[in-house]
Parts: sequence; structure tokens; C-alpha cells
Amino acid sequence: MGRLESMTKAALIAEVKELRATIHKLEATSVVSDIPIEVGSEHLHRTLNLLSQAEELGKVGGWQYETATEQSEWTDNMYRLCGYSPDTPITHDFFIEHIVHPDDKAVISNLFQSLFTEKRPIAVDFKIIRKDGQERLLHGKVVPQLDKAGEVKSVYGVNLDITDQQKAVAHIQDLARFPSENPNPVIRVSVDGIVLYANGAATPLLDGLCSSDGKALSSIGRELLLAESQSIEGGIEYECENRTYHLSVIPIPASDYVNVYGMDITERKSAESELREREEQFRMHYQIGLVGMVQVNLDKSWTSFNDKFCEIVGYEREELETMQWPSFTHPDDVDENKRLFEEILAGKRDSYSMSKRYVRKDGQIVYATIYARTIHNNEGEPKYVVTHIMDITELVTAEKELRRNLSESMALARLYAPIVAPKATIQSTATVVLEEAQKLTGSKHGYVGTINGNGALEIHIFSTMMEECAIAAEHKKIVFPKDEKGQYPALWGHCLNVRKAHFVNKVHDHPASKGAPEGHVKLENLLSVPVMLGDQLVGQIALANRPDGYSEGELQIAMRLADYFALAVQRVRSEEALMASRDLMQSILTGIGAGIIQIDPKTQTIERVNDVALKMLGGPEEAYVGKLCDAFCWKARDDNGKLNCPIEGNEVVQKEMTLKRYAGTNLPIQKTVLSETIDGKEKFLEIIFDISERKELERRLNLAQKLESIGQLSAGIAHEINTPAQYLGDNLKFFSGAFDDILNFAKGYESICSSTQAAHDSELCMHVEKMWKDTDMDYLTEEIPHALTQSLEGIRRIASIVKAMKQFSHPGIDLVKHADINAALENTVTVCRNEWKYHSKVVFELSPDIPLLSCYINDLNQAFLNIIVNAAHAITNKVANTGELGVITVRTWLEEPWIAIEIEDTGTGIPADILPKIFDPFFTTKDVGVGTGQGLSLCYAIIVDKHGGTIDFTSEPGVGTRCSIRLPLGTPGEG
Amino acid sequence: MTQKISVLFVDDEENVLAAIKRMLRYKRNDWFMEFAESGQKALALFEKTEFDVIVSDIRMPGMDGAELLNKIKDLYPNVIRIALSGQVDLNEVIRSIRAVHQYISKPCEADELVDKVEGAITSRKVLTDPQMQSLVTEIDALPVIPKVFQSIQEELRLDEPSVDKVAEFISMDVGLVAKILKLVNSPYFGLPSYIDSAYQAITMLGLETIKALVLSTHLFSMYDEKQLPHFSLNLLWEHCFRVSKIAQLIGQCEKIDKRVVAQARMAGLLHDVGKLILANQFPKRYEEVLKRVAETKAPVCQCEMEVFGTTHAQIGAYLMGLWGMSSNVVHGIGYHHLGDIYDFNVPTLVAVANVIDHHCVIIHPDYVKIGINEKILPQDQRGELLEKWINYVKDNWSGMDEFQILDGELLAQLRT
Repeated sequence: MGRLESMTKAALIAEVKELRATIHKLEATSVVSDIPIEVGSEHLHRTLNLLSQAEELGKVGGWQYETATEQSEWTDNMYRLCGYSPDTPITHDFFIEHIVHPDDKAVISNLFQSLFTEKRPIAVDFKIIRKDGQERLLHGKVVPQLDKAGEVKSVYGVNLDITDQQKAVAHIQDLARFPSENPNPVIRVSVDGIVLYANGAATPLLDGLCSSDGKALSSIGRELLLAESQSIEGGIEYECENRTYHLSVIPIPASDYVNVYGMDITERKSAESELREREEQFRMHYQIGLVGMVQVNLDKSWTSFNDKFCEIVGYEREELETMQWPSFTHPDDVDENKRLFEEILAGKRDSYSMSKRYVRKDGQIVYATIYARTIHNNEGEPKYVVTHIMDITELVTAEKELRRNLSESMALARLYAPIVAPKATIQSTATVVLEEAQKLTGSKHGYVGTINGNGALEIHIFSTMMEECAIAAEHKKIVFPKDEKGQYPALWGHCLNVRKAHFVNKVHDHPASKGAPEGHVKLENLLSVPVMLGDQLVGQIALANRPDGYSEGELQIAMRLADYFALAVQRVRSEEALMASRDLMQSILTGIGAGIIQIDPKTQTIERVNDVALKMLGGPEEAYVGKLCDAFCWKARDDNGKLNCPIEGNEVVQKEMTLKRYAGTNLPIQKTVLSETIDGKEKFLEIIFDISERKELERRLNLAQKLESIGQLSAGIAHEINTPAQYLGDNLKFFSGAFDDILNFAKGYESICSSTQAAHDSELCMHVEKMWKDTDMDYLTEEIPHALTQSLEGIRRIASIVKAMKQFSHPGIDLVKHADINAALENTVTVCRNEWKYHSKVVFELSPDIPLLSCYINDLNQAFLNIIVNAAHAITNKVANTGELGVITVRTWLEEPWIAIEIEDTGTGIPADILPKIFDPFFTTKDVGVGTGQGLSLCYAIIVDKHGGTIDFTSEPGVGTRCSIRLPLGTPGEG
Repeated sequence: MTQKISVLFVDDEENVLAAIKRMLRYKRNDWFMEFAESGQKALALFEKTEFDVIVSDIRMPGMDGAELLNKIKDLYPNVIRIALSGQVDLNEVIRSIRAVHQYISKPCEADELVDKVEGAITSRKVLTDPQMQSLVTEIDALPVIPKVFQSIQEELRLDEPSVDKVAEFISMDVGLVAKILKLVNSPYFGLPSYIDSAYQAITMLGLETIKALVLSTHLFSMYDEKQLPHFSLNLLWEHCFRVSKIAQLIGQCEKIDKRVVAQARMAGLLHDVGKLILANQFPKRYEEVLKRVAETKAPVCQCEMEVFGTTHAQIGAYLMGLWGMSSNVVHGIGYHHLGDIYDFNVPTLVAVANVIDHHCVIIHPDYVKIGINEKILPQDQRGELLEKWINYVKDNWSGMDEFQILDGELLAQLRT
């Protein structure tokens, strides 16, 4: 039995394979919806068909006897064998009594009884009397079927009509006397082994049986025909030249020879072997019980059912006896089944087949194909219904698995695109994953999400789970955070906490279930899979409400999708990270203001200029791309303006240079040249940074340091100068008084001498007069007071210059202080006196009304100095060597809310084309070494940037320049 | 002047001394002059001779000017101490400021030096009582209101103190303002003498300096309000600020020279400084003054004269003169009760402003509302002028809410 069973399974699997192929084909076209059931019923039909064909061909009749009910059931062929109509109810007793030949009645009856004690299959030949009175010889085989207790619960039997075979044997015997007429081989052999006679048909036989001369038997032939078995009754089978002969060796009494009668039984043999095959198939279904059989009364109560049926529906026989089929038929199939059954009852049809599902006792669903047929009584009325039930669950499952595999493959194929698509996002991938997951698992609901940076689950796509749209519109992000304990709350979070996929078919019984929020669809069952990348939790696929509940299969699918989704997430994320790092790189380069110029080393042409570099250059891209790389007029301090194109091996690292901007101004930059392979070609990359601000700061710092040291120096020397100035002044003051006294004294002499003519003419007075003249006293009296006055003036100037210097560069922290702008201007003019005094005079028109100004006075002094010195130089350039004097006019007035300052000169003026550039740092019209180009840009920075004022130049070449400054009243930096 | 002024000059540079000696030769009949090349020699001379004035350099080897002047201040408090220096740094200023009445920068013109010395001596004339003279000469700083001072210290200790806030606090205390004004005149700053307001003086000095000054603990003394409970320094200073402002507004109204207006403003601010000196030095006696004022309804000046033999105006003028305020300011302080010439000079402005404030804002219920000296305003225009000024003040002083509109009675009172 074991072997048979495994053979059957192998056959079934082969069958299934074939089915799969079919399904596969069908699936590819993907039209038929519920194939497995259809295919299953077809399969059953075909099996049943094959059986009946086998029965007919082999004249085999089958029957079954149930011990419990003592009911027998016959196959149609059995009825035919016995000459009865298939509608006739045949009981076992009826069979023994009326059909078995009276001669064999006792034997058969005994044998049948012995089945229940021996419990072994038996074989027997017996005679029957057909309904029409004909006597037939049957060969029967009977197999008892044991229950778990080892008792015979049913008996299966097959009967073969061998009447004809027996007749044939008799016929051969009859023919023995007329060998030459016999179409079958006839041979007479002496006991010595000499062939005495052989008819024509025996010729092929002799070739095999005789020795070479053809007259005497070979040892094999001797063995076969003349051995002890000369009186074989059954005969022997002998194969020769692909045919099988039945040889009957008949000893002739009182003679020294035997007659051998042969018969070609080749065809019969093959029929027999075919019969055996059928028999096996028959057993397969009946003996092994692959097919459930049920006999139902018209009121749906059972007449009988076999064990297989119990097995199929998963109930004990005792339980089933109290039930009716609708109670364990799947609710969805009950109506259809009932309809068909009613039609049978109503006589509208004799049979039906359908695919249906049973619900087993354990709740599992069993798929079955049933074939139901009405049995009529002698009056032709329906008597009961016999139903064959074939459990095709395995088939359906296999098929479903196949379909699942197939859909899975197709789903994964569909997933492939979003995973590798360059524009794939997590959102788009999640959408496809959810769609496929729902389709593959048949889930009504679901969502797909990823774990975000905070560890919270971010839902990317979800089916509508809220009946009232309680969850906001699609574009709003839904995020489920972890709870205070760092756990994902509720049932949805369970799989994320344990990092294991699971499914729950009774949601409310799960310990993690917290119930759904209001408006949420009722969850019947749930399948939830964590999406993992290695150890890292990256997301979740959750599915819910599959009509049949979830099983391992759906879990497997979801897990595979999760794996794919994980890959997709990884890919998208790394893509995003790559993009982000590329963007980052780009923004860093832009952020640090790196200008990049790509140059082809061979042609020395500019191929690419990035936006930053263009901004630095101040020109359009087309002004540079395609041009030679010296278009920028690089200049470095140490190479005297040689053009600097990058040269292999000539390393340029952070070299400070200037380039010419589009507008013609210079821009100090720092350049590094890299040699890079770009798209497989060697290129030079010139990386340039605008360092004008730094340069300016450096220069300003230098200037500030200079001022600082001047401040410290002037404070230091102030004391040293002021002290001698003090006593110089005091002495001069004394001397001027003393000189007056001396002069008075001298004049006293003179007046005495001129008082009278006599005195005048006296020798003494003559002497005095001579001395007066010799000493040139007239000149001295005239000049000494001037000399003294002028000396005092000199002291005053020394004092004022020292004071101006001290104030101009007052040491101390750079803080806002109130300052007198007029005084500051006067100081400044004093300090730079040397610059202007040879060619200009300075005229002050300062308004006494202007209030003290809250400002950075040191900076303003610096700005004023630059402007005044520029004015002085402009005049010098114009009047040099002409002896003329230019005029610098310094004006102030109050112009609420400003203090207005004007510094006007009568110098050369500024050409109109240069005027717009004067505030550019590094722009200078002065000869190298004279100006740094910092002057006016510094003024701009101080007045506009630092004090919120304005500075403007108006100029007429040849006439002069006027610088207008407005400084706001109020504290700088406070609006 | 029967007695010669005795002046001691100290400088480590002999040329300076010799030059001064020569230069001041013409003063030989008015001044008695001695010269010393070091601090030690100066101190030795002091032991032998009594000096009215000492003029010393600050930067000197050995004992420097700051040290010398401090010693002189301790030993001979009545001496007027003047610093003559080419350069001082902030540290030297802080060390010397208590001891120095006035700073003069080198190089100074001979006339300026003479003016300063004689000016300081002249300001003594207003104070005839030698005791009172020496008492005032000894004063190195005016006591400040502790609360105000504390607020300033707190503000300065912040990471980023606001110069505006500090200035605002300082402006609340006339003693502090006076000190600041004295500083502004020191050669260290070399600031223009024309300063519009105390507030600007403060911002011109800058926070650094203010910080150095205020946080040097020994520079300021605190006023003890408990010793004279009926005398509120706060109210007094508020009055001074108002007088200062009113004087300024009248000046503006009459379109007087800005320089004069600035001086009037300063004088207005400082006009009652003498009251602080009296109240702080003689709380008991000043209580007597306050009592008399309450009982007799006589003017404060009259009561002060009765008790002290001098007035707060005289004392204030003397100290401010010592501290180098310009003579116009000193004059304005000294004559703010005695102004008798209608000339729109500083005393007039201060006097009128004072009267107006006394009438329009009640400081103290016991104070008598002083009338205007008849000579200061022409009889026929007095009412008209006062009305014009009061209205001008009212219209141009937005932050002033205590200022009452003159009613008919008040005006009539003023007219008489």
C-alpha cells in the first residue's frame, strides 16, 4: 500500500505539473478568474472516465461493501457483467442468493465471511448466473479495508469475466485432433525429444525450441516440454519472436510421445496487463480512498459516506452522521450547491458537478470538486444522490502558490523599475509596494512607511482606512512617533518592536491591540512586516482585512516585498545621500565662493566657467568660454605681468594674483591649479577665490596699526615736545618783554642825545649814534619784535600740530564717541599740512551750528585725511611748477538730520570714465608706489558702511572736484 | 590787594622753571614766586613758606606730580593746586584728579597761566571767611547720591554697558557731572572747551574712561541722606536740571550767543552746588537754615547768610572756580541771586530761570517764592517777558510735566 500511495502521489504531482503548465499558459493571458476549481473538476471527470473505460475494456466490474451499513455499491460495469440494469439496487445477500451459481454459493459465502477474520485480500474463480440465465465464469479479487481499530470497515472487489478464456482452452483441446487444420501451432514430440510432427503454424516455435537440425528438441525445449510437468494443466507461456504463446502439453496416454498445442495469446496478454493497470487506478480511487463518496437521501440526510469524506471535511464519522452538508459547506458556496441539488430533486438534471469549499472542523478551508448523480429506483424516480468528492486543496494550494509565485515575480518585476529608476523616490516605491502587496495578499487595506530620522514611522502611502476621511488629506504627512518608552505603540507597532513579521487573524485578541481610533475601519485581521536593512529597521509594510485571513503564504510574500522595499529604500536613500552630498559639495563650493575655470591643456582654451567665477569676473559666460586662457590677464606680484596659463608641472597653489574683470578693474584673487581627469580627459581646473575683501582688510589693518603707532608715538613725544615748547614760549615771552625794556633803555639814550643840540653834538652822543648805526639798531628795533612774534607763532604751530596729531590718532579702543566734526576737519588739515601747503591754501567755511556727532572719530579722521590729500594731489598735478595756488575749501553745515561736509578742490578733476570706479578697491590712478588704491574705497566703507552716511563726488575735469559727505545725526549702528 | 600771591612752580626741567621765572618777571611786584625741580624740594619749601598756589608738572622722576599734589592736599589743604603738564595718561589723571583743582596743558601761553592762577585766587574773594575758604579748597569731590552711583556701577559691570544709560545716570547727579566736567578740562582729553551739555561731555569721554573713574573706588564719596532728613538731594538736582534747561530755553528764545547759552546752562546746573557742600559739611547748621526758612519765610540765601555768614551761591562759585570752570559760569553761579543787570548774560539767565522754576514747580513748601530783582528786568516789560519765556519753555520742553501753567495770580505776583 505504501508503495502505491507514493506512486499515486508521484502521479498526482506529475499531473499537477502538467496542470501548472496549463495554468501558466492561462495565467500569462491572465483572463480566467477561478481556474483551479474548473481544472480540478475536469481532472476528476477525466479520472472517472478513465476508470469506466478500463472497466469496460477489461470486463471488470467493481463493487464496494460497507460493513457498518451492509450496503453494497456496484459500478456500472459490475451491473453489466451480471446482466442487471445499473439502477437495480443490489444487496450482498441478493448477490449470493440470486447471482452466484448454486455450485459456488457455499464457497463464495464462506470466503466472504473469512475476509472479516483473515483480513487479507483473496482471489477466486466462481460462476454466476446472469439475469438472462447465462452462466458466466468470473475471476474475483477482494480487498478488505481496515479501520484504525484493525476491523474491516469495508470491502472492495473487482470481478473479471473469464468465461471466454476458459472456452478458448476447451476449444484448443477440441482442435487437438486435427493438427493440420489448426491455425495454432501443434507439435508432437517423443519422450526422447524427437519432434515427430509439427504443423505449419508451429514452425516459428520450433526454431526456438529445437536444436539446429530441427528434428530434436534442444535442451531448453526438452526442459520446457518434457520435464516432469508433462501433465501441466494450465499450460505454459512461451515467448518467441515478440509474440507470446500459450503452450499446453498434453500427454497421450499409453504412448511415448506428447502433443503440444500452442495458442497465440499476445493480444490477450496485453489486455490483461492493461487491466492490471486499470485495476491499480481503480484501487487508487476506491481502495486508497482518494475520492470521497457520499450517498445522500433526498432530504439531505446521509445514506452513507466513506472515510475519505470524513477525512476531507475533518469530522469524525459519528459527528458527521448528525450533520447535513450545508452546515460545513463554505457559506459562499451553500446557495449555489443548494440550487443545483434542488434542480436534481426537481428532476431538472441527473447530475451536476461543481467546485466548492468545505469548512473543516478546525476552520480550515478545503477546496473540492464534487460530482453528484441521481440514482433512480425501478420506477425511474430519484432515489438518492451519490456524490464523488475529490479533495483538490493541495492542487488549489499548489496552484495558488504557483499563482502567487507568478504574481510575486510579476510584482517584483514591477518593483524593479521603481527601484532602479533614476527618479524613483521612496514615495513612488512605497506606492507600488503597497499596491502589489494588497493585490498579492488580497488585503483590503494597508500602508507602507519608513522610519524617519526621529525613529518615528512616516507613512508614505495608505489605503483609505478612515471611513470619514478623519485622517487628513493625502499631501499631509502622517507620522506615528514612538511612545515615551521608545516603543511603537499598539498592534501596528508590534512587529517594529520585535523586528519580526507576524499576522493576526483575530485582531482583538492580540495583547498589543489597543483598538482603532474613531472612524478607522474595523480591522478583522492584520499582517505586519518590518522592513529591515541588515539590522537596521527602515520601515514597515502593514496589511489588513484579507477575507480569508492571513497565512504563512501571505507573510512570505509580504516579507519578500519588504526585502525589496528595503533595497529600494536603501537605493533611494543612498541616491538621495549622493545627491545631497553632490548638492552639498556644490553649495560648499558656492558658499566658500570658489570660482572654477576649466581649461583644455592642449588648446589652452577656456571650456567652462562656473557661476561663482563669472560673478567675480562680472562678465557673461560667452565672453570667456572658447577664449584663450590668458583672457583674464593674470598678474602676480612676482612675474611682472607675464600671462599665466596653466602649464603641466608648473605647480600653482594658493597663489595670490590679480585678474582683470570684465569692466576692466582688477580683482585680487588666490589661485590654485589642479590637473584633473574629467570625463576621461585631462583638464586643468583653476580654482580662484576672491580675496579682495581680505586684501582690503589687511590693508585697513595695516593702516589702523600705523595710526595706532602714530597715536602712541605722538602721545609719547607730546611730552617731549611740549616741555621745550613751554620754555621756548616762556623765554620768548620774557624776551619780548625784555627787548621792549632794552629798547626803551636804548631809546632813552637816544632821547637824551636828541633832547638838545649840544647833547646831540657831544662826543658821547656822537659815539652813541655811531654805535646805533653800526649796530643797525633801526633794523633791530624793527625786526626783533617780528622775530619774536613769529617765533611765538612757531611755538603755537608746534603745539597745535602735536595736539592735532594726538587727537587725530587718539589711542584707545574703537568706540563711538561724541566728536566735534569741525575740530576734526581742522586737525586733519593741520596734520596733512605738508601735502597741501606748497600748492594750495585751505579755506574753512565751518558752521558753528553743527552739534557734536556720535561717531567713530578716528575712522572719520582717516576718511577726511584721504579726501583732503587727494584734493591736494589733484591741485599739485594741475598747478605744479606754475607758481599758482589752488584752493581747498572745507565746508560744514547742519542739514537735519545730517551733518553735511563738503571738500572742494580746484584740481585736475576726475575723468568721467573713471568716476564710477573710484570706490572700487584696488583701483588707483596714481603711479605704482604712490597710492594703494585703497583711499576712496576706505572712505566709502567708513562713511557709508560704518556711519550710514553718503559720499558723492562730482567733478569737472580741469576745473575741480567736489566731495559731498552726509553724516547722520544719532549713534552709528542704531538706525 | 595788600598781600602778594605766593606761587610755587615745580618742574623737573630746569629750563621750564627758568623760562617761567623770566616770563613772569613782570609779575614780580604782585607775585611772590618760588621754584623747585622736584617734589622733595617743593615739600621742603612748603615747610618754610606759606603758598597760596602750587603749579606742578605731573611727569617727574622720583616723586611725580600726582604724588606731590596729593601730599600737599593732605598737609596744606588750603593751597590751590594746579597741574601743568605736556602729557598725562589716564592713570595719571585718576591718581591726581582728587588733588588737582585745575589742569593746564603744556605748552600754555603765559597769559593763560597767569589768568588761571589769578582766576583761582580771585574766586576766593567771594568767600571771605578763611575757614570756609580752606574747607572748600579741601573738597576733592562732591558727595554723590549712593543709589545713583550704584546704578552706574551696575551698568558699567555689564558685559556691554550702554553709554547712554551711564550718561543718563550720571546726569542725575550734579556732583558727578561737576566731576566729569573737571575731567573734560584735563589735558589728557584735550577736548574742546566748548561743550554743549554734561551728557555730551560724558559720551565724549567714552565708556572706558568713565569706567576707570567710577570703578576706582576712592574717587567718590557718598552722600549720607540720613544726616539731614528734610533735605532731598534728588529734588535739589531735579531743580538744578530744570533751571539749566529753562536757562537754555530762554537763551534760545532770545537768540543769544550759543556759547553764552551753553555757559548759562552749565551755571544753571551748578548753581546750587553750594547747598550740597553746606548740607554735607554742616548738616546741623544747615538744618538750622532750613528751620529758619520754614519759620520766617525768608529767602534761603538770607538764612544761610545769617547762619554761615556766606551763601551757597558763594561757596558753589568758589569751588567751581577752583575746578576751572570758566569765569562766566562761576559768575553765573555766584550771582544767581544777586543779578542786577539786564544784559542777558549768564547770571541773568540763571537768575530768571531759577525764579521761574521756583514759581512754576513747588520744590519745597517752606521755600519762599523769590521775587525778581527789580533791576534785572525792566519794570515795564517784566510781566510781558516772563509770560513769553514761560510759554516758550512750556511749548519747547516736551518731557516736562511738572511745569505748571502760570495762573493770573502767579503772574501778578511776578509782576510786582
